[in-house]
Amino acid sequence: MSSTYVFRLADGFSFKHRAIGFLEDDESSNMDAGAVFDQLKEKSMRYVRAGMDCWLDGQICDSRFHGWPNDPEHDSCLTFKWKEKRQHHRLYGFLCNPKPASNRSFRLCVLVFHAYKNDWATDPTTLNRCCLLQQDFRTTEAIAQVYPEYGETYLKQRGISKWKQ
Amino acid sequence: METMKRQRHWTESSTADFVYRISSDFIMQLEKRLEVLPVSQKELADRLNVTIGRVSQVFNNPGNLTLRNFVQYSRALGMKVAVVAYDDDDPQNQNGPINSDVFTKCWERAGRPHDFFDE
Repeated sequence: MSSTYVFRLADGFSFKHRAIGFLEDDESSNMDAGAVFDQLKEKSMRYVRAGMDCWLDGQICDSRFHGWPNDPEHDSCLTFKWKEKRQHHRLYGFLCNPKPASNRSFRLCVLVFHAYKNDWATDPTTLNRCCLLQQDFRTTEAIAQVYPEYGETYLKQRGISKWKQ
Repeated sequence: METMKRQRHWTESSTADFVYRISSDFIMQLEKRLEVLPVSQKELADRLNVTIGRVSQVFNNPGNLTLRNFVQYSRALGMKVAVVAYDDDDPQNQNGPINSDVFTKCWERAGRPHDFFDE
């Protein structure tokens, strides 16, 4: 029996053109971006939230977040960055459109993993895990709890009438 | 269902949070300026007559910047600062502050007017 994923939107933000949320596994702490974010100390929390605001506003700011637009395998991935006590931290996730029919330009950043960053280059393993999760039907099912349109489109594309109970 | 309930933006939690956010916007503008010129943080520190550690500290934690610092850092990079109060029809602050770059871009699109005669 596979575990169930849960998706929740990040609180305290305005989601007009873009949104940010966390995907979590109800049986494992492996998908830890949400838990790490929730436990950030005040200073780091403000730093990360300000960076998230920047992404939500459509800004480009490589010092706070970036994607991999020139890497076809990982061009849907995004990371938010911060430094605490000389340690570099990252929240990794993927981008999708949870409103494919009603708002084709809307973007949702689904954050999944936290990692320490010790090398200049990003470990592709984490990005690969994000991409795999993006394709997982449990991810779609979880996001559809918040954005029903995302699930409806997924089911329609596969000729399925409803989620397996 | 998608959450439609309007909640307060995180910057409404405290004045310190709001100050941090607008200070952070300011720092991001400086970061872009450093990249464009280009000027290193070390060179900026030299121009300000402070240590690079101090500049790095400010860039990583801009919450304690004063208006005087805003002016000093901007002038060191050949820029100026405007303090703008605005009413965006969001008295409960559900949407958060408007990014300062929005004001800059609008000013640039308006032909960078210097006064109301240029408007």
